[in-house]
Amino acid sequence: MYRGLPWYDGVAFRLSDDGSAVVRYGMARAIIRAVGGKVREEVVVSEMRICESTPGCPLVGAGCTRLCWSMEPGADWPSLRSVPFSSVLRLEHIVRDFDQVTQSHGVAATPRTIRDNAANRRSARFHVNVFFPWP
Amino acid sequence: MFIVLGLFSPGSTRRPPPKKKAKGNNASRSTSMAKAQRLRKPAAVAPAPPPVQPAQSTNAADTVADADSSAADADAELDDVLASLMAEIDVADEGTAAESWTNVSDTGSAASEASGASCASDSSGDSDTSATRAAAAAPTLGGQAARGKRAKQVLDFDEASYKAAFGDMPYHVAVTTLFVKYAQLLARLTRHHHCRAPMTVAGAEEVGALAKEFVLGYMVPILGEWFSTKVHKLLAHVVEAIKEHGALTNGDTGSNEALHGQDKRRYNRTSGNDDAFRTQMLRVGQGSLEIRARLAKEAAQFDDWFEDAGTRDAGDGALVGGDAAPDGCSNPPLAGVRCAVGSALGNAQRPAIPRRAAAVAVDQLAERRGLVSVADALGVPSGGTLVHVSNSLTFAPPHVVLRGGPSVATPAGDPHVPRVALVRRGGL
Repeated sequence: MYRGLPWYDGVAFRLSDDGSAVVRYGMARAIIRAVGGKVREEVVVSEMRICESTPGCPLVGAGCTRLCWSMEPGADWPSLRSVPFSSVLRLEHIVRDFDQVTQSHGVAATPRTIRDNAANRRSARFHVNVFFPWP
Repeated sequence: MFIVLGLFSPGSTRRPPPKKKAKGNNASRSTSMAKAQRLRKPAAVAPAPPPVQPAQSTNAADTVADADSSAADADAELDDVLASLMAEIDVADEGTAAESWTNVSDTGSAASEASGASCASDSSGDSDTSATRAAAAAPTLGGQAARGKRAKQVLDFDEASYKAAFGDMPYHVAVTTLFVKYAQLLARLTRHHHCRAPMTVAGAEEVGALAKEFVLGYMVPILGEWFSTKVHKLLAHVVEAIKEHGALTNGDTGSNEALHGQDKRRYNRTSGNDDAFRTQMLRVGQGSLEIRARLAKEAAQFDDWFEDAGTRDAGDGALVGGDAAPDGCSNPPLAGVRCAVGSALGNAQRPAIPRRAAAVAVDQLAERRGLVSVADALGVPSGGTLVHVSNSLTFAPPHVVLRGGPSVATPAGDPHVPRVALVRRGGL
């Protein structure tokens, strides 16, 4: 909670040239209201893409899409995209895949204890929490 | 009967003696301790022969010696009584456990059938109730009572049933599946996935079948036999509960109790008197409502004045509407930018830059973590281009939010799609 409001950064969006079945995911980084004095209502998101999943994973089987950062080769940070407000479909509760965390960094590791570098960002995996009880 | 005895029978180890009261002066405490020591000493040395008293002993000494010996006798007698009571209770406990196990074993076949029965059978509860109780209680009671030990509430993992239910699936995957099924069941029970349509009887029966599948198909094989009132109700009385009370959301007091946090500050301002605090809270609440209404009115008047002023000063917008950020000023006069936008649009209905949107240069924005290439994303050259950013955004998603997996049906065009807030951290 942030000042009485829920605090969500994950968004699902669909670009104008995408098909109706395409859903993209990302984490909001900045909410743009104007650029150069001109109104532009957009959200700058760090792009995520749907990645591989463990065969037989019950979470994926239940609809929790597995995600990873969309990073260009050699890049240190996920690629950014400016998404208009009208293209944002909904908020998403995107959580870290703790199975990957524990397998890569030990059972005592948490997302906060993992070193924040490009290699770890590339190997990070996430899940869309479809069970989140939205208000 | 077994549960009652199990709860209230004394254990093999005695309870520690109750603590002495902490309060009291030291003199009385030392006196009582001295008395206790005096009373315990003879019990510890009871087998030893009494010391030879001199013939000229006083009457007081004789009195103390008599009191010590009588106290020792009382302690020994109390120990004997307690030991006999414990023995009786243990015998009764074992007998009751064995008796209950006998009763349970009569329904053992029904229990095994119920455990292995199809989970999608009818959701009425009577037969399932006995089956659940038997299936849940049998291994716990029978296995340990047969060995003559006291039954404990320890779950027994039945590897055979686990293998039958999940095969070679790793245990952690099965546990994750258990949580997934529980989340799906909870979603159906509480209907909190934007489903505001009333639950039908068919839907309730479907939920009941889902609950039965969760208990018999996942919970029992993974966690073992479980004897719990909640599990029993989940297995046998879900449909009846939904028919009587509706979806569980109707009985959820969380939303009302969440309001207590808002009233806590008001309550702290009251005297705390049971007869007066309600009136005092009401008065404070009404006062805060009036203050809020007055502030909202003043804000609306200010907005009206601001809009008028912006229209009159539209020509001044060009002075500050450039792309260069003022030196040392991360928050340029938003009124000028707003006026510039207003003059460019020439229509108050068109979107304008919110007054609370802070203006920062693109370079400053790019210094934040992960925003190095924000200029490329926005399609503007790097430099001092001003960007107005907000901390939060409240919007209504244009599409119906579909959640909860395939088992949750969301009616298309649901008018109750809530307004949600996208809140960004930091204070740009």
